[in-house]
Amino acid sequence: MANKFSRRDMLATGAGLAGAGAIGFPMVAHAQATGGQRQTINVRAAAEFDVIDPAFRRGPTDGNVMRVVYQRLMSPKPNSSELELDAASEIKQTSPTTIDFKLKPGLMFTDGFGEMTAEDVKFSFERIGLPPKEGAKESTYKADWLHLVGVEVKGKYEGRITLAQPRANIFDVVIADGSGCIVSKKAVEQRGAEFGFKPVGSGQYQVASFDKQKGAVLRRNPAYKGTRKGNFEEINVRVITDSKTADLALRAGEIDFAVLAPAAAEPLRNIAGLTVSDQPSIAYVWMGMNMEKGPLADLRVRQAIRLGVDVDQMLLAGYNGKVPRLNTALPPQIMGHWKEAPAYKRNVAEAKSLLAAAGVSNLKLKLTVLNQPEYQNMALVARALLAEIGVTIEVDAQPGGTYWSSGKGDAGKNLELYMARFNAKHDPNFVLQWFTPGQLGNWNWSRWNSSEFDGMFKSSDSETDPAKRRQIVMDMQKAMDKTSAYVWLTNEASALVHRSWLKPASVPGWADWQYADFSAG
Amino acid sequence: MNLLANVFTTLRKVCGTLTGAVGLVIVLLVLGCAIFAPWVATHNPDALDVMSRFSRPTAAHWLGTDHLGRDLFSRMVHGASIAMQIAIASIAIALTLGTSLGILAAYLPARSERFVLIVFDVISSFPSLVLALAVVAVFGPSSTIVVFIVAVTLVPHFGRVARSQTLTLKSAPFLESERILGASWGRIVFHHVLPNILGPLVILASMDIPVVITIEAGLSFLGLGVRPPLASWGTLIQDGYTYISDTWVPVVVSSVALAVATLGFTLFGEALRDAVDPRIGREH
Amino acid sequence: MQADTLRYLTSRLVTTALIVFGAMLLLFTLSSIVPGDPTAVLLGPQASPEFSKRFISEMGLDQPIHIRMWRFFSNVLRGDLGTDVVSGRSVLGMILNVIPYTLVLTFSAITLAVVTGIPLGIFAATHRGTVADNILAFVSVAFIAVPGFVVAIFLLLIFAIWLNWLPVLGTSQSGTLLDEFRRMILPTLALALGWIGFIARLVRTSMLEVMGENYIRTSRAYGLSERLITYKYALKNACIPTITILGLGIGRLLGGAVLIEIVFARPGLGRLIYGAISERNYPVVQGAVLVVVVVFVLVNLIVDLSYSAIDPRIRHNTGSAGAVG
Repeated sequence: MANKFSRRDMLATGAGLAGAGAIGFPMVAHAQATGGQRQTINVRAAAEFDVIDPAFRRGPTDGNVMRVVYQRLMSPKPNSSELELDAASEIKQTSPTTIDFKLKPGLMFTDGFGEMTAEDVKFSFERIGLPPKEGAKESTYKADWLHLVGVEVKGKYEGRITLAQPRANIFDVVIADGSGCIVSKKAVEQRGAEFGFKPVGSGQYQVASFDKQKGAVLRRNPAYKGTRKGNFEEINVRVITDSKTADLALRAGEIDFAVLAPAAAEPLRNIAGLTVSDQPSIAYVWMGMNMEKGPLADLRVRQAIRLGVDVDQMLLAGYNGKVPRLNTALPPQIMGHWKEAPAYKRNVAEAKSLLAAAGVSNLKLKLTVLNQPEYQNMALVARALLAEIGVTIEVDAQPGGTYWSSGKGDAGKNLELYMARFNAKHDPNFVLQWFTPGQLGNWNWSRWNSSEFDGMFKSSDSETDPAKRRQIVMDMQKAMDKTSAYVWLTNEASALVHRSWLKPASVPGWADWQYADFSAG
Repeated sequence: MNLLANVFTTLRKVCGTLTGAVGLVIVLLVLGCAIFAPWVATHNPDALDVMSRFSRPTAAHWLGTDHLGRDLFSRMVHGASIAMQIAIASIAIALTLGTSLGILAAYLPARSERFVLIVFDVISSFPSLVLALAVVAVFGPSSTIVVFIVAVTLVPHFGRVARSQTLTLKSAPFLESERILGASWGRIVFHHVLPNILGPLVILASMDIPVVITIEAGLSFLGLGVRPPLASWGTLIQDGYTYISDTWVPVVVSSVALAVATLGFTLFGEALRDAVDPRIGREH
Repeated sequence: MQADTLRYLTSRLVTTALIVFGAMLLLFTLSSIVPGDPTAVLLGPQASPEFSKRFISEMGLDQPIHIRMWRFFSNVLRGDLGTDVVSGRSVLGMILNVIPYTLVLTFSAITLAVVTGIPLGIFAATHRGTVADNILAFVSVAFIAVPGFVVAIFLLLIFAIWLNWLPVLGTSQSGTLLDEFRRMILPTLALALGWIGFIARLVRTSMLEVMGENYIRTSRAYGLSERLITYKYALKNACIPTITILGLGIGRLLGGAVLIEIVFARPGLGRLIYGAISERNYPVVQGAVLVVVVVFVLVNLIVDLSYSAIDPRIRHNTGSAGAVG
């Protein structure tokens, strides 16, 4: 498959580039046949597969495959978060709580499971949103279909979705996303648990083979009826958990596309045949303080800590300086993002005086972080910086199994400082939901108990006027800023690394890839 | 008096072989760094200077700096200290516990002895990875936990050897006569059994030091080792590996340090055993 | 004689069963004290507290240990190693899916280690004190000392990137046997290197010990050729500790090659266990650990029984595999 350079060529190239101050790795990638001739592409998945079933999916590895195996009523246009019709020929919000839809006729499920009807839509949504029937499992994504009353079948292709309460984001976050995938009712009932790795959908690709640890092979679905047919006959989704290995696989030509952390993608920038492009992500990373714990209950102490750290230096250590700084909860791509949020600069003198005013000296705090290099490094830098204002920090780097429960329940009451990273979606309420009082003891690790914030949250959730909603969302961010319990760090960035002839596609933020729109160009 | 003379003769024999001599030199070097770390190191291993990260070896930083601008040489030297602390602590604990259980097993009635042996096998057969992950999950990662995990894993090892050595000794005539003369169990164990079996056990222990250091490196690589910002060799290798694309110096240097230390202790331990084992000397 | 052997065998099998029971008891105890809410990791932010409670009861985590163990073992006897609560698949199915990769890698590594290590050890023993012996000493220990994952990354850099002789990923998706074989070379090498060094040292030492034994000196006195002595007697008896170590090694490698599996992106039992524990996916952990423990204990049983075949002097020693150092 790879064109072999002669050893002399490689030594010469390697030596030349090494002399140019490069790292000393051989700076060549093994060339592939050009894109026009390629029928198969190899894509890297960073986590193992679990279940390709909308009701029980686990992570983006499952999700990305899911969205090309199944159709949805509406789905995002290529490389955009704007929606277009997919399985539906018509869809209308007929009242604040009802949505009428009409399916296109002739959408066929694979493996001989027949045509898609409104029954399948009803089945797909209700199995997620409604309490499960006898013996069935409850879906992990039930919260996505919150307030679903039911789906009424009005004809072979027509139906009506009824909600108990209006939901402003129902289209973006639910109907056009994972929980809106339409499965074949017959196939689910027939295949049971096996459906998770032998899925039946009507999308552009079908799953030809599936292995949890190795990966999945997707083959183009000839029966797909739509305008966005897949450009490649076969897409090999290879699971490579270690980013170092992904780096090497890219160099060796065994992988054509991967999304790496910008620091990890650095050495690949100068390799012939590979293109590296930096894309901002929609995550939100911050250092938080437990507002109920000891001295942290005092606003001045929290302000002192915010002024004692230097976010830019932390980002330099954690991400090689390759990520944009974030100053508010909402990443810039999301509606309602507070552009004028203050970017706090380090001020040792003021921090010290705030601490003195609060009557606090020799403060000792524990900083809990996930034991990945970015957070550990940022924590160590924060530790050094805060030592200069008289605060002693103990870094507690936890592995995944314990980290994710460190802010919950009773353990959460003892949390002091922490760093967290959440994934966002293109909806402000999705991003801000974790900071409401309802999430105390669950994901509200700063233990912020504000009924005012809660009120704003609820009203923005059902506010259908975009301008009004934007205002409420702004106010919510301002309220968060006033607490000084959140030191915003970054919305991260991803580096896309791919063969130069390959054009990958994704909804902005590069969390939800669009395999069907990958093209050779 | 006798003991000292024995030690000297043994050391002389060890230095007689090339491998033994090299081993001894390395062991002394590592121990020296470990004990005198604060003086040997040129900088504070924790002092970070993010602006000068990934710098190449210079006069100021003999081995360059790591991803947070900390001096690599100082971290390596302190790494020796941590490696030694963990190794000695865990081996001491395992040796004590294992030997006690082993001797006990040798003297217990068949049923109880079998129970002890089964406990040994349960520990040996249990995947150490699972044990490590579980223990770290309960107590959080730290050097103490690493010592605990390693000690538990090594107990069956020492226990079995102690037991078989004691069994061999049990049938020795002089022990029989002591028993007949009415010597207490305690006296037999402490005055006769222990001194005789300790020799092979100590040699075994010295050869286990490299094993412990490597286990710690593996644990640190998985994020289950010592807490940041401590600079164990395992952590250094893991950090170096993470940032290998920025500079290959840390990972190579810390791997070499690990390899050399392991080499030294293994060669020294082997030479020690060769010097003490009468059978090997008799080959020609 | 036969009744004796039968009694010994039965007693060993009982011991084996007790060891497996003991190991699982340890696991269940650990799982009940280990913190970390499985639902947090497995279900993510979407799950409600009621869902978590139901999830926990499905996993049986709210029951006391003896009930959990009883349920577990009675299921095992029926061939059911549990069900993965997340995907609904049988744990046995998941393990069977993954085990071929692990077994193939383990046996290749051990074979390579034996085939390379033993000759090196013999050479070192018969050339004791020479320059070659010293070089071998350094090289063997260097192999033992460098951690597997460091070896793996350097092997990849040299053979897969710089020389482009071998592929990076440790398993193929096209499925041809030749491709799978090619991809197995580097992982096997990375795994085997440490064992090669270890076996070489072990064989050397054992042979030197045996060669100093009385019966060897007597054989020499009787005029038997040096070659015969070396290969027939010394080697045969030096094999015993080697086989012991290999027995232990197979068990360890089965569940412990995680780092190699991760670096080479190969499926394996080690990864399965590591992932399941990190996620607190207890049904999978229990089933997988059971398999690892059973294999380990059975392999050691076979190793012990084979001692009798190799050295007629060793017969039916007391208790479990602990008799020989």
